[in-house]
Parts: sequence; structure tokens; C-alpha cells
Amino acid sequence: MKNHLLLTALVITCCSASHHASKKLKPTTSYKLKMTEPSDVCISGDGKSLYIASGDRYIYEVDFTGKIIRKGAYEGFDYEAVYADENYVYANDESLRRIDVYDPKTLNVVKSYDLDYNGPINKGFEALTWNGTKNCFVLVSEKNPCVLYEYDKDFRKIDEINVPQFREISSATYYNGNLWLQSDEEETLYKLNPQDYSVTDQWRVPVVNPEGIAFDREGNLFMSSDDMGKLFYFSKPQL
Amino acid sequence: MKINIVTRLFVFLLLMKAAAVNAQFGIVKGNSFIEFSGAIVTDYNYRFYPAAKTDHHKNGFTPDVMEFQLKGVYAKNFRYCLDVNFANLIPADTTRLDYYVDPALIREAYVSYSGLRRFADIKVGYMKLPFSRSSITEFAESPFLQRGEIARGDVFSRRDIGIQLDRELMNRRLFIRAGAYTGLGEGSMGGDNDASGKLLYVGRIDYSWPGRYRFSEYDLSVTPLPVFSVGVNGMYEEKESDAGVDYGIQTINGKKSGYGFNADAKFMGFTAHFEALQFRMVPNDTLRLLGKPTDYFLAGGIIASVNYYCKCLHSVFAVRYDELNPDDLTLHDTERTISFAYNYLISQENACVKIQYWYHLDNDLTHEPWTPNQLRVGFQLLF
Repeated sequence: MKNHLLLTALVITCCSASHHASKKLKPTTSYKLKMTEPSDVCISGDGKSLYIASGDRYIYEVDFTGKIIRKGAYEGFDYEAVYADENYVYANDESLRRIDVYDPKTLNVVKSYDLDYNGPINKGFEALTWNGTKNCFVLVSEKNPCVLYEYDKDFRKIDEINVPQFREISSATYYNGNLWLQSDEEETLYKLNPQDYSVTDQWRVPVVNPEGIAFDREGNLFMSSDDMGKLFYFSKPQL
Repeated sequence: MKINIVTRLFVFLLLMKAAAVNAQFGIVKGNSFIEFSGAIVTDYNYRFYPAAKTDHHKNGFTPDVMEFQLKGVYAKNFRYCLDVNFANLIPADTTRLDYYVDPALIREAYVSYSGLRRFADIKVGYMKLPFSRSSITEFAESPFLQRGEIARGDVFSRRDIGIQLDRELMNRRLFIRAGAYTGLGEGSMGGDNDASGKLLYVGRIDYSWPGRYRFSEYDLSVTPLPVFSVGVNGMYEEKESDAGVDYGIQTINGKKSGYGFNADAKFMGFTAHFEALQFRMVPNDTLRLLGKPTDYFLAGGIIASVNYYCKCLHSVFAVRYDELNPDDLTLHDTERTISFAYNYLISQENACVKIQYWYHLDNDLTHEPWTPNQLRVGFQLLF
């Protein structure tokens, strides 16, 4: 019996020692969010606030400390991704495979686009952003498998690219000429070439379940954590 | 004999390599959707029988799980689930003629309404009871091929028909569940209650910190901060019938109350689980008291496990101690087992090989239902 326990302890010790060490990001501070399941975060079109897609069926506009400024007027079902430009706020309803387009002035839905995806309901599109290099929307299915889809501005599918290098993806953003993907299960931030989607760098993020990422115009990084209900702030990280 | 076991396992592993991995599928229509998924787990089981034993019928391949599940949402607020395990299409006890199929064929069949979110979600149908974290956790979320003895369903019913209220608070870190059920476990599927006509009442509260703690015994995310969870649960019923295959205490003719707690933690690939459960039974049939000067007897046990997910090896290593005493009036009736498990994750967590070895710490295995030490190798595919 002692031999059994010793062998188990040895295996566990060896495996612990062999854990892959990579670059890490450290949050500067964090803010409590007063909403349920904050999934994704994006910078507003004017750069003065953030939008958060929440699993409680609404989108919220918050300031940079996570304080709620406005709540969306429309009740979705399962918002998991959000992106905003100067004209609209785009919220992806993962389960209903739908992009609800909000007017940022009223925060009400002005139009919707149905997306075609027959994968698992709760493993649909978790990441949405605009790829400024290729001028297309990018949506990424969460897992099993991770697939990156390119759509035009009217959400007509352009291309479908397998990205087997990722086990799971929960958020996307485009900043400083790069595409950034976040995996909440891997707790890793990836920097990608927006042309061919090859990974150029990556960082471990010591945040539990970081489902959303956004950069402000000064290069500060924001991450939303679904399980912790918090907004993490990284002051101008060296990326 | 050793060569024999190794050969059988080698053939089994070769067969497993041929398996393909599929994905789940979902269909969306307006504000409704339906999703199809399932699982197949096939085991090879080898028991280390004492030399005197000539009946080795438990050694062989077994269809552990052949599950097909339909889940969906209707008009945003109605959720439903129909979950069938075809491995139970044929009853394990073929001498029982009162069932054409094992009632455990249906794993879950319920509808829930989430339109009263400020109050609670209301769930009606046949469902898992919110009692014992080890019981609630899905088999696919555990590195072991079999649950700890106390949580396997013979000491208390794991499923029943009834109505349950679910309420999540604090960003799902606080989860409160309470319900009333027929109280006959899988036997409730027959449609009638027993002569008492009384119900089973169960309640459970889970609290986790600093973030939500999902019902999983894996830490595949290699969580960078320690996350903790504690849970307490209780149940009460008064019945006029006995049920239970191995210990006859799943339901008793009399009063049965149960209570327990668990503490869990995960960090950097490690997970730890500890759970203790105890049941107090006041039988109407005094013969069950074995002539002792008391009006009740106790059953109880614990489960303690530690798992480690080694990402670079796609492997999970686990060790578990579990203990059960089904009747405190019977001397030396406690069984203590230590189990070792190894999982190799072939395609993320969707396809994996699971190996479990049971080692009994008590040598007195002459009486049923305690089984000899055993080795089980299984292949699990979720689709």
C-alpha cells in the first residue's frame, strides 16, 4: 500500500515540475461588476466607456471602473460577445446564433442578423471583433472545435478557418494592428497576425475564467471574469 | 494470469484507438433551440477474486454508459432535458420480473421555467436530487469510473420525480436548491407512491469563493488562483416500504433523515474533494434494530479525493479514499477503499481513457456485497 501512495506522489511531483512556464500578465487592480455572468467586454466607439455582454441577457455600458452607466433596453438570451464601432454596438447571442445590433444612443436593438452554426449550443460563437487589417468581422467558435469565421459588414460569411492550435477561445479584439484572442479555460492571451492568424506571442493571465478582453486608446487592457464577476484592469502592459 | 490481463488490456486499448470523435449538434429556431449529445463508455473489468472463488462472471467487458441526451430551450424561458442511458435497457438483475426494463433507463426527464428569475427557477419532472456533491457531479466530470460507495445510489436515491426550486445568487457563487419528490427513487417512475403517500424533502446550499466553482472534479483550466467551495445538504422522508439492492436502506419503512457537507478546492491543476454523509433511520420494523436497545440506526461514510491534471501529459492522476458503514448496529460492517485513477485525454476532454484500481483496506470480504479488489479500464467518448 505504501508503494502505491509513493508512486502516486512521485508522478504528481514530476508532473508539477514539468509545467510549462510562460510570460505572465499581472492585473493592476480589479473592480466588482454589478451584473451576473459578465462575459465579454469591448471599448465603445468613442473610446470613453466600455460595453459588457452579460449572461443575464443584457448588455451594459460601464465606465472604466466597472460602474454601470446604462443597461440595454432589449432582453437577449445568452450574450457572450460584444463589439462596438462609431455607429453600432454588436452583441452576439451565442445560443440563438444571432447578432443583435444596438444603436449606441438608445441602446435598443435596431436590427439583427441570424448566423448559421450547428455546433453545440453553449459552445457557439464566444468571440466577436472587427479585423481592421482584412476589413471583416471575425467570430470564433468557443471549442470542439475552435473555428475562426470571417464575415462581411452585413454578416455574410466570407471564410472559415480551422484554428486547431487553440483548445478554447472566449474573446477577441483588434488593437494596434494585431488580433488578440483570449482563452478563459487556458487563461491565456494570444497575439495574432491578423492576416494569416498565426500566433506571434502569448501570455498567461492569473485571472479565473477571463472571458472578455478590450484595450482602451491608451493601451490599457481590461478583462472581464465571468466566474468572479469582476473587471480586471492592466495598466499599459508591455505586450 | 498476468500475461492474460495484459493481453486483454492491450487488445482493448487498440480497439479504443480506432474510435472517432464527433461533436454535439444544435438547431436554433427563433427563440428556441434543441441540442443533441450523448456519451458512450465501455469498460473492461477485472476483479482479483480469491483463489477459492470459481465464479468469475464479473470479469469482462461491460457497457457502462450508452447515453443519448436531448436538451433545449423553448421560448427563452422553458428549458427541458430528456436523458436516456441505453446501457440500462436490460435490467442488471434479470431475475426481477416486475420490470420489463431497468427503471434507471431514464436518467433525467424534466422541464424548468426560468421566467421568475427574481424568485427561482422551477423544475418539474424526473431529475437528480440535490444531495451529495459526489452524486450530483456528472460521471464525465470525474476521473473515476465509479463513484464512492456512499454516493452510488444504494444508500440514498440519486434521482426522483418531483418539483424543485433553484436560485443562484452572487454571480452563481451561491446556489440554493430545495424540492419535494415522491421519495421512491427510480421506483417513482412506476407512477404511484407507497402506502404512506408522503413525500421526500431535499435541500442543498453551495457557496464558492472567490469565484464560481463548477460541478467538476477536474481542473482542466489549471486555475491560477485557489478557488474553494463548500456545500451542505439535508433530506427527510417517512415511508412505509423498504428499497435498496445491496443494503436495503435506499428507502426504509419508517423515518429517514440525511445530512452532509462537502469542501472542495482547486488550484493549478489540483482539485481536492472531501464529503461526509450520514443517515439516521427509525424503522417501523424493529427486527432491523437487531435486538439492540435503540429505536434507530445510522449509516454513513466519507469520500476524500485529490486529483491532478498534468497538461503537458494530457493526463489526470487521482487518488480517492472512501468509506461506508451501512448499519452502525452491525459490528465490522465498515468498508474502506482506496482507489487510484489515471485518465489520458485523447481529444481534449471529449474522448479519454480512464483506468481505476480499487484496493480494499479491510480484508474481511467474505460477506456480500463487498467485492474483491478490481481493475477497470474504460474508454469514454462524449459526442
